Amino acid sequence: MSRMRYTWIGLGAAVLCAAATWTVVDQRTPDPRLLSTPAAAQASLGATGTSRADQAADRSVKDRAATPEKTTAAAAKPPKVHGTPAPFVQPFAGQPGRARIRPGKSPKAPVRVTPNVDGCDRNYGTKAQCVPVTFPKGVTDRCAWLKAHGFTGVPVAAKDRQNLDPDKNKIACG
Amino acid sequence: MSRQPRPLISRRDRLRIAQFIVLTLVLFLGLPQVPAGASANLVGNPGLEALDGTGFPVCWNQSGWGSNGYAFAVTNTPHSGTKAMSVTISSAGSGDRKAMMIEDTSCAPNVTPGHQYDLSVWYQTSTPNTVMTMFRHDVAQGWVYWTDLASLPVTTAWTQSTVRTPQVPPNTDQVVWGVTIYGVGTLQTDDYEMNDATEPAPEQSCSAGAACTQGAWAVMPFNSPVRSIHAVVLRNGDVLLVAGSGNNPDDFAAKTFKSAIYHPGNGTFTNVTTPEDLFCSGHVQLRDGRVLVMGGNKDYPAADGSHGYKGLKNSYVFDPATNTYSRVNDMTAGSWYPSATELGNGDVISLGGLGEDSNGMVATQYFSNAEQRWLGLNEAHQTWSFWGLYPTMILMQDGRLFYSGSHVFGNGLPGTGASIYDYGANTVTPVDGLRKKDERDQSMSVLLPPAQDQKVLTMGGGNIESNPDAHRLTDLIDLKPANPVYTAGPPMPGGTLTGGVPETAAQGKMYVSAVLLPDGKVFETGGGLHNRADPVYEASMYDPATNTFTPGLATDPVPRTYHSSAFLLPDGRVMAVGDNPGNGTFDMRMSVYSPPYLFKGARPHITGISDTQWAYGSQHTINVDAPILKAELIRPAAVTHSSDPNQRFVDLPMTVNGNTIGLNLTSNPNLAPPGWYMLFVVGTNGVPSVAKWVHVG
Repeated sequence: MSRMRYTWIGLGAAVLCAAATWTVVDQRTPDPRLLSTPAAAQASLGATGTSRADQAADRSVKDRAATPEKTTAAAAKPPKVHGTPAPFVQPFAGQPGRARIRPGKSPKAPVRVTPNVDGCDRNYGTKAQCVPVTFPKGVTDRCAWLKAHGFTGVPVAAKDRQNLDPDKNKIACG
Repeated sequence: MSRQPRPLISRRDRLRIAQFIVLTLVLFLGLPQVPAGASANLVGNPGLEALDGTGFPVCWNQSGWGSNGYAFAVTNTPHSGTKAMSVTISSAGSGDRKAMMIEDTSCAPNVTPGHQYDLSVWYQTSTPNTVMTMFRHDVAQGWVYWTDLASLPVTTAWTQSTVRTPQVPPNTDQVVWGVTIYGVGTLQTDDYEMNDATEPAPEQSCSAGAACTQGAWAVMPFNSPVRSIHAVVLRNGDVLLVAGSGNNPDDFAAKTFKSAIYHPGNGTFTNVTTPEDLFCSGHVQLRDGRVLVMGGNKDYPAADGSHGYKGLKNSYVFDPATNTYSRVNDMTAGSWYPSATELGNGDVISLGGLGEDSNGMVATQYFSNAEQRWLGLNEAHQTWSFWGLYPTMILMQDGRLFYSGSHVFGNGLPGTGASIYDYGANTVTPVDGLRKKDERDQSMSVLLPPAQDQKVLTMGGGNIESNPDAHRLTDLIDLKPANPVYTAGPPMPGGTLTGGVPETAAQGKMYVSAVLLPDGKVFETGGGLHNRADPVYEASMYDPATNTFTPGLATDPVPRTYHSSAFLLPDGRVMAVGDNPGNGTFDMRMSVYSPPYLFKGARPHITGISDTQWAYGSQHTINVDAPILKAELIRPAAVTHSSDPNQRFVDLPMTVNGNTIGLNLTSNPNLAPPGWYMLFVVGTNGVPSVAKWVHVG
């Protein structure tokens, strides 16, 4: 192979490498101002201020500082001190136009809550059991419902309010 | 001797050329790849060099609200180029000011749902009261607030701040952003950048069969030693299970009161001496990780109906360091089924419940964390309102409490059934739109992830008194608009009843458990159709981003109705405990659910953390071993009766530098009330890490 051929192959390779490098570098370091600034404004982008190289230098220092030296490097790095910002609260849900209910006076009468607030009819069962005050809609045979739900030998502890003890033996459904 | 013709390219030359091509290809392909589009700055007029007719930078406008004194200016002391932009707040007052990108199709950067973007800005500020703020254009709603990302430290030198956005929500086509200033001082900015930083999702494969999409339950080979009616996840990862008398009047009569610590790491328990009947108490973690327990059961109802349940005034602090309860001063009134919500200052408000006389408790009971005591009646603002039993009172970002309408037992409150309570102003304002407000008994409400989005979902419910079929309605409220209103959410999926009988289209469930997961979704499980009867076997995953339920998740084989709870463990699994049907039995089995994300690949690891004491508005550094999609804090559970109003997921906007990530904590304590939190990161494969514990505030 002649020297000329070597030269051409080498030149081609250099062009290939240069193109590849150019492609990658171009993807990585665009001028942020030029990329999306309106064309009219780009003309005014002068050389004053911090250059892109300066910015890159700043970033590289930051990157080095943040790179962990070992897996627990973050543990040795102090948190970034932000001063003490006041809580930033958004003006949400102001409810303009809605009437505010303001406090009344201390109530004289108590707020009555039914003793069977938990929906259990204390006339029946042990203290731990809960025969419902109201059976689910559609239940026609309450004794069958109780049996199906694990109630057996349910005592009538007080009044037979729901007529579950027709034979008056003090055992509901039994 | 004739010379053979020389070939055009000899064998040796062909070999050299082949070696060269291979080497070139290896070098080329080996260079790091930059994601497509990652290099394009999406900001219009990012250097602020082009001015409009008013002399303000093209594509930027002056924004803000309130009564503060302020001035916007274009300065000639830029970071680069010839111009920068300043905002000065000269006099204190309400509100904020910000130079924002103009919300129009020409200037607002276009974005892709699901993508993430790195935002950066060079700035100087004389006040720490700054934050990067984003709005998004929703194709259905128009321009709406999105989120606040990071506070910017005070600096007199030009400094660059970079923050990665969360994933862009569905239906978003554009965003705008800027830096907000809300304290007296001057903020100057220049050279904005916005680059697509979406990390490619790795290929996923799953060989776990149905668990890949449904997750999987395991019933533990041991039972709870106590009736787990109350469950509190402690700062050390253990779980405090409180029974008191456990809804067992015989134990009450014998003064047998129980609590136990469950150690998830080894499946063991430690019994805890329990000083009173803490059955029916309220509980919340204090800022130091100890647990404030308030009220409880002073007596069971009389069979003759002469009185109902009576509330205790006692209050205790449980210390995970010693596994002991210590008594604090009594509450101002007895409290049986009280709420407990921690405020942004670390104090606790408790509302509702039954007093010592079985009547409705109408005091606002206020625990001062600084003084470690309950304030007297006259020391706290009083509305004298009865809030019902275990009212779900959720702390809003401005410190008010949202009463979601979720409650325990019977009808909802009179009126619309939901409201906003302003403790400072001592007012209550109704909120409209909650459907079936009298059938929200033991529904469950959650502040949806992330807390910054200020949305609450209320799911299901019934009524133990009228005892209808529990329903499957969900209602969703966005607490950001001026007048928030509940709107109909998607119905919960239907389940099956005992024997595999499918529910009808109208049937749903009460006794709902809803758990916020590290991937930002909500797992709902358990429940029943009627008062302490008819368990419903159904579980689904709610996605706040899409407002949809994914049905058909694996169901807990153990019925979970009255006195059941579910909560997130620090390892990303969900534990479910308790079931107390009307026949008086109690199911002591414990179940653990592994969500689908645990079957989708390797978990990321937090390999380093700069510190575990986090101040509001600060940034903290972690190291990870894999690309990360998001990071968040999840407050550990303190749950009972489908009520955990303190449950929340606080997004931590990230500053990403390879595997070193800065996590930016909100400056607003109302978004993340002080205390211990579980820090999770979620990999680009959607798999969460095991939590690390950090202390906020």
